[in-house]
Amino acid sequence: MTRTPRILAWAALAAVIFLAFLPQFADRYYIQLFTRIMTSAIFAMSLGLLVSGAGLVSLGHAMFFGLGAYLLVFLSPGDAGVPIWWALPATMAAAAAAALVIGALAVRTSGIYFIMLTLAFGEMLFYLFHDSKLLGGSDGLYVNFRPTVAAFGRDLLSLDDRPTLFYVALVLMVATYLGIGMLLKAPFGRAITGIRVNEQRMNAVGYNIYAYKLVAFAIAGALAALAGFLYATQYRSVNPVLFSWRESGLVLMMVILGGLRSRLGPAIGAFALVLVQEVLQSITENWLIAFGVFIIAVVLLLPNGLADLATKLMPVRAAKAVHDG
Amino acid sequence: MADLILETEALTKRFGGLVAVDAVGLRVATGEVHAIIGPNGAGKTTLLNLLSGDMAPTSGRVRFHGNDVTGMPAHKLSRLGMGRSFQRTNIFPEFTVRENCWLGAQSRLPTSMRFFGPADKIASVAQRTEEAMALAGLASRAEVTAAELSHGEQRQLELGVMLATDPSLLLLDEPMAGMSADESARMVELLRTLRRNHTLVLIEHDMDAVFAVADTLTVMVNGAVLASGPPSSIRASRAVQDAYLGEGSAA
Repeated sequence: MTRTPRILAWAALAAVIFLAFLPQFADRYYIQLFTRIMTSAIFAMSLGLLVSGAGLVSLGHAMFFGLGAYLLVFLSPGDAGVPIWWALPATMAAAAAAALVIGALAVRTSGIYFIMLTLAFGEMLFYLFHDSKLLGGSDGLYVNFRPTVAAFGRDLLSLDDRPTLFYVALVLMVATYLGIGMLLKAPFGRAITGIRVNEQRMNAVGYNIYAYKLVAFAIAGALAALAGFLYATQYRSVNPVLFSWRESGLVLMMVILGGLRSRLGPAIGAFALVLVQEVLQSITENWLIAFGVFIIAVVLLLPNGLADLATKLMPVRAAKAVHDG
Repeated sequence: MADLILETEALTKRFGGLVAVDAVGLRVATGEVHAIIGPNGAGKTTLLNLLSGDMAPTSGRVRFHGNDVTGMPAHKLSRLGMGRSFQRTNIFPEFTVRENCWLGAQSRLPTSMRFFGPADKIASVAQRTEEAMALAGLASRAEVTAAELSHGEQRQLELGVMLATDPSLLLLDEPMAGMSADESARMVELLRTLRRNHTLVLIEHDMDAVFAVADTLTVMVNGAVLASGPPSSIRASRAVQDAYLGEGSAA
């Protein structure tokens, strides 16, 4: 029930086409950078499903990203890569299960209390991984070999190859976007958007709002774990900081800056946040100050987020909106 | 004796020291229009909350279609055929009229835990949505955002969302609240239409409307039932006149 202005939809398509050709001309620094950004975009979209979809603002979403990253380490044998065909679904399923347990308590609350509970759970996991030698402690752990993508005993892709990993991230990002779109158009999506807008009325017309919120929390957790898995595949090292509330806050900022009213918002936020950070870092050492100014400017000038930029720049054409669920 | 769709037994709700609903025994016959009247603070809305499952009673029983449903949550009661509308309009302001009614209609699927395939392709839901909009008199306003409707239309939509759930019993909390004379007259017509296929329990302050549509009146004062019976006997009751109707209304 959100509408993507046509201009924004075209811009997104153009961006995907640009990304598809990027490895042909960009050097390895940019290939790595954009792989990381696309991972963040998946992460942000998973949180967007919670925030804009079900109306659940989580400040602990990094815990599922962290779980996804660590699970790749735990599932990988020390001397070879783990087959992605079962490791990735297993990681997402395990994260969904963890989200069901945590959510069973957290989604009973709402508003500020939900924020507090998710923050608390995130910090608990951070300290669990930080303080436990068995789980790697403060130094974290390494992925000795990246996951394998093989069929009938033959390797199909090598994730050690940077452009290949880039394309895997691109495919997963587009698939996540389309998958969330499908979910929001399906009866489940209608139900959770209704719950975001008016929880009491949804209860009165026969929806068990607790169950729908819980399932939304689990799906968002699984998708965050997908991003974490991809992160650990790219960097081959994980550490407890992945769970930290700073990471949770950063991804929430991506969602808000991108725009809560657009399904493209979280991805736009991820690209904008990381790229602006990159540019500012290359200009000045005191980039955090400039970064703060950027964020304040976006919030003040574009209350509906960066996704609104297209509508602001081209008000006439944007009036023609396409329905995207 | 008429078939009872809803019955309560010594239904009580306490908030600390305050007894908001005091041992109420309500008997609603299938097919009737049963109005609950009483001064502000008499406990009418609290009683409705107990019936709809929005609040759990302190003590007492509620039977719906002969089954004990005491303490059952609202979403389950809704699925058993209890529809509820609210005194303060309780809709989805940012959705269109059709999207509002859609949510009511979709709730009658065995489950909305369906993750694949667009919802709008489900014919049974689409049909119930259109029927509810037509019944609520909003068919021509289907694409209008709810927040942009007039007050009277929002009240109609309030009913439309509920009607889309295809309920057998309607609990209506002041359906005419804040309406102009014209809008009230239209609402009375709508209630007359609805009574053909539904049992209605309504709280209402508009006495003309109440006497125009109700078969049974229950008068509440201070949380308790003062009197219950057909409009003629309530109108004639001395106690009711003293407590509530006042000189102006006692024709």
